Amino acid sequence: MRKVLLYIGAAFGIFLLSSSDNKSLMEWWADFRVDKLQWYFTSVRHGDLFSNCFLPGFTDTAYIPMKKYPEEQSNTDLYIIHDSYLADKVGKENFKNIDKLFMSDLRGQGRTVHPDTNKRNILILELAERSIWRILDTNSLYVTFRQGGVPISRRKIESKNESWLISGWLNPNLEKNLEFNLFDYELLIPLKSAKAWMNYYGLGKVSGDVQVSRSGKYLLLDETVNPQSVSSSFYPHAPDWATFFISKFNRFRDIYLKEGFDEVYFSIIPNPADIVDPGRGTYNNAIIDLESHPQRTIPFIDVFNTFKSTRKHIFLRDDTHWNGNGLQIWVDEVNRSILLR
Amino acid sequence: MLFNSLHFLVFFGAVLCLFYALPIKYRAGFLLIASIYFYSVLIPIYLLILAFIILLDFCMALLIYKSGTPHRKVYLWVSLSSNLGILCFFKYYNFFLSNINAALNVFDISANLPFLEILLPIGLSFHTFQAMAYIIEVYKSNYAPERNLIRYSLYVMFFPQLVAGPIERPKNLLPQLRFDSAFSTVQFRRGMLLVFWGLLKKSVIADRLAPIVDQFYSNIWAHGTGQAWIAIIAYSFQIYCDFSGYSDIAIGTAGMLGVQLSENFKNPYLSTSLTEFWRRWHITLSGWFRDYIYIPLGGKKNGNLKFIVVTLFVFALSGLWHGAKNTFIVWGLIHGIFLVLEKLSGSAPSLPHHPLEKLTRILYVFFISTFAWVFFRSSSVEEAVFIIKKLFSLQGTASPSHYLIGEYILILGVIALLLAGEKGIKNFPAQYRKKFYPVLFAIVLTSYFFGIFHSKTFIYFQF
Repeated sequence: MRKVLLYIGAAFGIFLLSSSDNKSLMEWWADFRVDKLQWYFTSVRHGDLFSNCFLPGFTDTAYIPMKKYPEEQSNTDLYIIHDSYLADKVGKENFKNIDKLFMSDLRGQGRTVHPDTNKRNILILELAERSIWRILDTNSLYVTFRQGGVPISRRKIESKNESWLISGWLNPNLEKNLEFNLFDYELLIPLKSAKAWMNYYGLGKVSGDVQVSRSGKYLLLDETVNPQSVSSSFYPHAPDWATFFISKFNRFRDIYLKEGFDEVYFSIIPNPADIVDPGRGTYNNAIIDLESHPQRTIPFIDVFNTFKSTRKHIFLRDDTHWNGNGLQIWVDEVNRSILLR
Repeated sequence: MLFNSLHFLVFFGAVLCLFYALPIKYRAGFLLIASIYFYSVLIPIYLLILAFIILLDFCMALLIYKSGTPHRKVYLWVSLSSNLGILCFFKYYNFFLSNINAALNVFDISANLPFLEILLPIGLSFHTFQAMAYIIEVYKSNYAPERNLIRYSLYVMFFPQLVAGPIERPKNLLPQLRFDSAFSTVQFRRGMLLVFWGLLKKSVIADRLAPIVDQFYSNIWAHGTGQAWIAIIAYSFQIYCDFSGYSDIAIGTAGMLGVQLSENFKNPYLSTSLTEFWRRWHITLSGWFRDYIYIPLGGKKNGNLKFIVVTLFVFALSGLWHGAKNTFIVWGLIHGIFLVLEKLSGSAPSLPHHPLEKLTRILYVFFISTFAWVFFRSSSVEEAVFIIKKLFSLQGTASPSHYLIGEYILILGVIALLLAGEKGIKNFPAQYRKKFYPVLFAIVLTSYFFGIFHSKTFIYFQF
């Protein structure tokens, strides 16, 4: 009997390791847990920052519905290349005066579309303030196009062609996958929250690259508030830092205009710290620098000033993203400044 | 694979189950496969180097054993020069080259000899030393060569001590790799206790101290005298808890597999002389240098001059063992110089009688080793000198900005516990379940609640 138990234990360990190492199996399992076992799965039920640090007291579950508009005849198609701020959050019914809506997630595979040249084709590139630096990493635009058509696609970032004999043969996400399989369960949250609570209130530390706003009401992503991180709102930029970005954005516009789009816009979603905790350091005015740059030719959809002036609660307390109010402000601005023009 | 990762936890759980499920005759082979997996996770191609060392030393040892006197020496040198050649190529090639370039520059010769972009195989210094210990012991006829290639391969590759020691001798490890002794619950429990104790030292102390140290060393010019003192003292405990924590986990995992590895640390910061410090710090490495270099060079015999020269040479070498940098050599020499001074002045006592005298001596050893660690941690000798000047320049104040007093209290509390209770943990009467489980539970709980688990690597992995 003892030997049988030992073999079962070994088989379980080997199964756990090999399944956590298998990329496609893990993708299927993660989808299955999200679709079928939501109650079971921490990250779906809580904000991404809470799922990183488990600090209790920041839950923000209030659902804020979006305005919906009835379908109408229109000659405008709207294309949005976006990041997680818009992913799975808006539909055609939220926009006024459009015929079709095409969304392409920067983080995904992209999609091929063929704009109808008889229509008004509008393209918006939406990026969070913290993500604009990722454009630099690739030394190119994230989004590019192929010859002979107007596909919206994400260019593959060239990976180093290093042999597995040097770089290793295991899935680089193995550790993360093991954590997901072993500890990402709702029933373990009290234990994780107890640790987070003791470390925060006893030792002043928050784990998982998270910081707490000075008001104590919001969790903030460390890279957006740490003055040593380039994507932070408090990183001291060099005087002419914005020129390079502006040239990229302008180029992006030129490329897509040549490919048949009638209008190309750019929109930066401010870091939550800009709005909910601007005084925690010396604010670097990144968005204002970009918007007011003299060489800028690409039009911006500006929500920064509206966000600053609104009294509404627009960012989730336990997540890096906005809530329905913030999203609605952005959609309203798109409707007002572009679609109803 | 890091000991403080989930990957290791699952891997070791599976290995443990299968190890005890398998018949004894298959256990060595199975552990060898597990060790190959363990190492291949890092940089798989370097398995070829290990395979080469293993095969060469295995054959040379058999030839030494069977050959007559003149040939024995040839085989010994073939083995030693191969091991050292590989070590020097990977670890010291660029270091020697930069020194040659610098020397030629003095004579206005611009040689610019080309540097190589090579990654050091993880744990190379450890397993080549272990392999050399085997061949030397066979040569000295202290140990009969192992005739089972699987068992010898496991001697070099045994995963608990493969990448950062303890550096074992064949006499201790090889007989145990037959796995013919009966299962001992006490040894198993002690192993388990040591694993979690090591994890506590790594995650609660070393990894909590790391940001203080890293922040200081990343910009030494921006900090005042107080912060410099905090950082250098923090590093003394960080490196101790990091490395001894690793050793504890290694000894503990081996113990759970029924193998008793050599002790590597015996509370070195409670030493009352540097001589004693080196009997308590990285014991298996200092033992190696003592037995295979210091004694053969006649360090123990002859006059003072020879003693001084040999001691300084061995300590410089032990510094160089850590890495191809002048800072490591200076670190070794500082220890060597103080050790020589202690011996010559006759101030290396057996045991101080008065508690105050003992405390003074403990503080003396702690601060000498702490100053030496400044060289060890610095990126250059100039940087270390700058830091040491800063320590006495009374610039600025200590303002540990991003640390709360609570964290310091926690760290100091655990360090105090460490100094006072470590011996008790290592000799814990694990046969008493009623004592064992509460202690184990307390260690696990402290590690969980106050540990940092970001899979930060161990400092000694780079050596």
